[in-house]
Amino acid sequence: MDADRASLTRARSRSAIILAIAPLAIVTFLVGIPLVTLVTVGASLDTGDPTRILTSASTWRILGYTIAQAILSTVLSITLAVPAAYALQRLRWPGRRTWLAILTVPFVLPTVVVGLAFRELLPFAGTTAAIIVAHVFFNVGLATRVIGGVWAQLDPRFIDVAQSLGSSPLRTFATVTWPFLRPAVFAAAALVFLFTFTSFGVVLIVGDPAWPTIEVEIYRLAVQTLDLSAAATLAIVQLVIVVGALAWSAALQRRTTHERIVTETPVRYRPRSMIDYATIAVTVLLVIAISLPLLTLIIGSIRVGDRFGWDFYAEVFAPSDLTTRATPAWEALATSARYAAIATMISVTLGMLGAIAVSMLQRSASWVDTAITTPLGVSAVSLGLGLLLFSIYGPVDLRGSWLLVPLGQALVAMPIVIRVVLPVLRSIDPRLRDVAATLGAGPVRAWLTVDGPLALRAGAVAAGLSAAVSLGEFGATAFLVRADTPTVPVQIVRLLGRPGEANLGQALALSVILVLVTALIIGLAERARPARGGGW
Amino acid sequence: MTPGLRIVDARIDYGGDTLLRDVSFAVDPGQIIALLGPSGSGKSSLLRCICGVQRLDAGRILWDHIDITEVPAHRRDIGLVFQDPLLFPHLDVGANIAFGLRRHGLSKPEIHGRVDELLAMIGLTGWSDRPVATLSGGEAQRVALARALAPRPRLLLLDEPFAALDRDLRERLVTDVRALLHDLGIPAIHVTHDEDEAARIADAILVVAESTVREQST
Repeated sequence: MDADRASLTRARSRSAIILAIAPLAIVTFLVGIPLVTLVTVGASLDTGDPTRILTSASTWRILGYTIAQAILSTVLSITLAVPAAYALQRLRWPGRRTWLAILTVPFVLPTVVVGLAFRELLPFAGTTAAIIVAHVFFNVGLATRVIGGVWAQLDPRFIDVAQSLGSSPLRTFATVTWPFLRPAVFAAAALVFLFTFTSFGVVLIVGDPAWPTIEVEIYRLAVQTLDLSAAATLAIVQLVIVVGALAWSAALQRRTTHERIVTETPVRYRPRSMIDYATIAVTVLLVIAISLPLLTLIIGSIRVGDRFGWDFYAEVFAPSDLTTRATPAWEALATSARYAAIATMISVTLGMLGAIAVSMLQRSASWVDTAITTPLGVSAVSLGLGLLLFSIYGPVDLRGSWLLVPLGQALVAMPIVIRVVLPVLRSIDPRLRDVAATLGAGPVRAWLTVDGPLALRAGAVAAGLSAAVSLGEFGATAFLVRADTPTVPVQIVRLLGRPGEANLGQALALSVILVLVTALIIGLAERARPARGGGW
Repeated sequence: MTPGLRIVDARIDYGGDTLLRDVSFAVDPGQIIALLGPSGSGKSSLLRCICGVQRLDAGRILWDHIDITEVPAHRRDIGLVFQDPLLFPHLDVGANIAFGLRRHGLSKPEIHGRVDELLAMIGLTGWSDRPVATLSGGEAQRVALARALAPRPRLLLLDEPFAALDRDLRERLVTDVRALLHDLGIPAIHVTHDEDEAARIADAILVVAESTVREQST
């Protein structure tokens, strides 16, 4: 019996490894090798020593500033996300689902659009404060989702028991809720740190040009001063910090993870204390604060001088000035749609294979998971840079290929696909497969019957997110895209770089269109979301 | 009016519907009441309201003639034990039992002494340092009971505390708990859907039916 079981497990691991080959290969060849060889390749390109960048005082200033703004953004996002997660997942009040959806919208918005919205809205645009506000706007929804998803699983009777033992709400939070929630809070904090540490579009548009972050500096070094070796060195420094932060967070999560005290069906109660109403107030204010920049965008896109009209939209679709160096904006839409479709196909295929493999593996699951999620830890700009170097020095010359941009976007989206699909697959009771097997189903049929339908639905959600991410992707695309076929975000940034009300208006109109398309895709995909699993 | 717990004209809604209405009954000092009724009839909601983690939609709760309807759960001194032991998984057995003793201004040695006393009472002497994950269902439920009794509550609410245990263990625990509560003089409301169990543990039986609570007709 045991030998049978062991051989079954071995067979399972073997199939899992086969499934994981494609995603692992993509990550190895398109991320691993380029990044590892970056420094040496860069060194042979230039006359300089790649490490010279590390001894420069400005590098350390940039590094310190990047870390400081990321920590501030993270602390603020988490501080707001905890009460919002409580109000949205533990309390029953009107519009709960709608508020949660609105809070999540920014996360799928193109960074460039968010940057533009904040530049229009904030009186203090061009400062560090503006960056932090924009980062909170971006990440508070994701943090709320991650923390709230776990909080919803805490059996509310633990809280009842603690209170019946004379524990005040504050002490109950500190001694019962917090130990349970801590891993989720650290996980959310690690994600927010990751995104704000490597944020590009936001910093570029609302930041202070005199204070670049590492990500902006990498882009500047590679594209403007063509100092690839310095850019590569910085990219590696950045990667080391990201990996360090992720590992630290993972260690904290491991140390505090205990046997889950979960409930199958989340229970929500009517608000009854001052604290309850306070968390609701925080959530409502947050929702209003998040809606404002979007409203600013819409109003800005239809205000022409001192009247309202569709002029900028007309300009987007039928440019009056055909002599400009500009591509008509609608062509950018077509380009974006084409790239996003290909990127989605690649990222969903590879991400699903990866997630299935990880869900099947037992002992080696975590390193395979880590390996194929690595691109999440590599900033988009570095991914673009790595891919560019690969296409110059690699065995296949991808320069000018239609595949280059979608590949870059797919690398950014693939980890997200895995984070959506994997929790769903893991939530499936393995005994269901055993039951299928005892009923005479082979391993493949058992998987198709038990996991298949849920995997398909999770895949649809992931495809929506992946398409949205690809449409809005800017960091990697900025590196890889050809000048004559810009994507929408690239076109928006170009329009912003030009003077005049008409260009700004067009950028705003294009942003609104991009937001609408993104919202439509996400809205459609979310309808397929399985009730369980609690992924992103 | 007698001392002890009195529920006066209580109403509990769920969603838009009324779950229970016109609920009035009393628990006298030292008395054990069984609350019988099918699942979903509102027994658990009633217990939640009595211990203060849920609000009544109408009516009042009195303790020794004092209105405690608006007193928050952590100031009511009413203990609660569920069907699942719900031991805090990040604390060991001793820390679980000591959880409710923090507010009583006891010194560390006093807390230890009290925990040991309670462990002896439930027949688990010397188990203070054990992780709760290593306990069997029956052991965990006994620790949950000790935890609820530790702060000496003025009333103990038992929400089907033995339903998850096997028959032999259940019968033994029913007898033990009844003796323990009578020894300590702590009154209790014991929710169950098992008539035998109700008859064996309680001094009086109340029945939840047709959206209200009545005395059992014989």
